[in-house]
Amino acid sequence: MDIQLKRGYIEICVLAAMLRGETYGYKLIKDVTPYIDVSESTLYPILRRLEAAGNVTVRSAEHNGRLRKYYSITAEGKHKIKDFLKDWEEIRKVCDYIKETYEND
Amino acid sequence: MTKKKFLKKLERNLRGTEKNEKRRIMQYYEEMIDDSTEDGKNEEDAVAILGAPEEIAEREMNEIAERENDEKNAGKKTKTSQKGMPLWLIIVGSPLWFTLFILAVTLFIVIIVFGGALYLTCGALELILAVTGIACTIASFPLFFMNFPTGLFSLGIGATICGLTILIFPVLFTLTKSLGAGIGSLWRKAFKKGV
Repeated sequence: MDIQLKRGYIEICVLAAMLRGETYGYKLIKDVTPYIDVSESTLYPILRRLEAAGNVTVRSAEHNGRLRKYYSITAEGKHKIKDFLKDWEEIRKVCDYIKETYEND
Repeated sequence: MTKKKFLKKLERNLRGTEKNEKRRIMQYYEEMIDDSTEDGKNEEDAVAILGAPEEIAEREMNEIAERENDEKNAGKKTKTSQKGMPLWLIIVGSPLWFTLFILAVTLFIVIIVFGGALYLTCGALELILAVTGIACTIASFPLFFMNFPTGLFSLGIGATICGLTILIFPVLFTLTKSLGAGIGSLWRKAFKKGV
């Protein structure tokens, strides 16, 4: 898969995982990995980008005597998922057409 | 590799990265190792999954540069759109603002001309009444000798006009003063701050 395209999908997957509630980096990887391959070093820049764009908020909280960062989706982040799903409908129509014409060729 | 060694290598390879950004990266990878060991992995495995610290540092620094570039471009775009917006509004809104501008200018001219005419009329009326009253009164004296009833009539007319002049003087004076001040203020505002 194209790297930029994959990165876009991971962003939405990460945001979608946050819809279930506040979460942290390690859990995000565990939640998303069954659907799309995400490594620790891939996730960090994605989280930073999402944070910079105002799609997620971050807070630090104590966990077992150390600090852990917790991520929450914002209204803007939810809007991003909504936009993606809207775009996806259009892409799916194009894909269906391409698939149909390719199969009939 | 141990967690301590990994973090030390990572820090060394992130040299030159902004202090706060470096701290965040270090915290993230430390958290990942801690969560991984807490989940049951041994430290060596938890570190090995992350990959080589040199590669991570290089990737992170490239990412930071890319992000900064994106932010710079986004800033440029915002500035351009802010600069372009008034021009866009001027062109699209021209039928409306041009009509409103013409209306405002016309209204300003009408107020100035009408106010000025009223100002002059008030002043002229007061002057005419005063001159006519005084003239009639003065003219009545020789008329007394020539024709007494005509002289008496002229004196009556002169006294009435003089009385009327004195009576309406405060009203006309106030009106003239207010009109003069109003027009002057409007003129000053128009040519100092725009209509």
